[in-house]
Amino acid sequence: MTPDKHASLRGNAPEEGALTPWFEAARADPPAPSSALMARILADAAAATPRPEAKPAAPARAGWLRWLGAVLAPGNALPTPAPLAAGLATALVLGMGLGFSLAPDAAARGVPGLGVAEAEAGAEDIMLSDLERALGALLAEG
Amino acid sequence: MPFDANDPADPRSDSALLAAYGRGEQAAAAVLTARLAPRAYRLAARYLGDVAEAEDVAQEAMLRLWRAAPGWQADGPAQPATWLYRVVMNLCTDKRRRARPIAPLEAVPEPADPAPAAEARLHQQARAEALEAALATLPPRQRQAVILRHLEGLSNPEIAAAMEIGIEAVESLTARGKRALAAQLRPQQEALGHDTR
Repeated sequence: MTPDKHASLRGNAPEEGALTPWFEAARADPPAPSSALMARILADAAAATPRPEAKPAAPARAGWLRWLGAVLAPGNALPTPAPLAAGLATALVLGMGLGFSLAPDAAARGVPGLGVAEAEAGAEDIMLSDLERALGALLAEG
Repeated sequence: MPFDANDPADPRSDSALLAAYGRGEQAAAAVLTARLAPRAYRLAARYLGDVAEAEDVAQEAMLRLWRAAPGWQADGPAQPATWLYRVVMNLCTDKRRRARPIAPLEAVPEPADPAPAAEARLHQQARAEALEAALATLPPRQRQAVILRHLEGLSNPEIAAAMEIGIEAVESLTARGKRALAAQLRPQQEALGHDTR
């Protein structure tokens, strides 16, 4: 009977049984870690415990910026209509006021597509009529 | 020995525990230490044959495990024990030396003539020491494969994952290692209470 050359690879070689008592003896008395080693390993774990990162706090905003953010941010509750209308009206008036204060210079430079005279005469009319319409609409909503 | 034993005190798997520790659950580390640190130390001690070196390797391997925790996926394919065995073997290979010389086979004394129960214990201790000496003569990869297979109780697929080789390579390493061990230990069989057949 020819020897099976693959027997050793399948673990059927004669030494498989001969070594069993040796392996059993080694397994019966395994090396065990000392309590000091276990304590050091636990201390390493405690020191390396990951900390959840704290979310950075949002910076404090000035009152009017907070209001603007509340108005513009989706999903946030909008202020009541009356304060909203009043706030928008105030901003519009201020903006228009600035525009009026600059209107003569701007008219002198001319509105694109218009002559200087038409620009000087029409710019104020346009601004005033626009302001009246905007204020009227806001007050009607409120 | 189960590869991923569930502790009755904590039924979570090693992977789940390591992921939990990675999220900041320190208690998970205590369970993992009880499960995995003895394995790391046993492998290192059997491979290096030196207590101090084995402790250094085991502690370093566990520290690397803690540092790997934040990125560990509980449902991923990797197993903490396999990963740990791989790190221990790499650290042992880096050491490549023994602080305490292993007694040569010829120096293993014959047991004295005590009572039967004590005689059995002495034979067992002598066999363990003889096996340790014989293992130290094996090439590193054969030594690792034989220790993992026959002393740590890992299956061939588990050894293949830990050593990052194929299963056939594991079988070849363990077969060659056992042939060498048998040749080393055969002269001691009669002296230490084994049949020579």
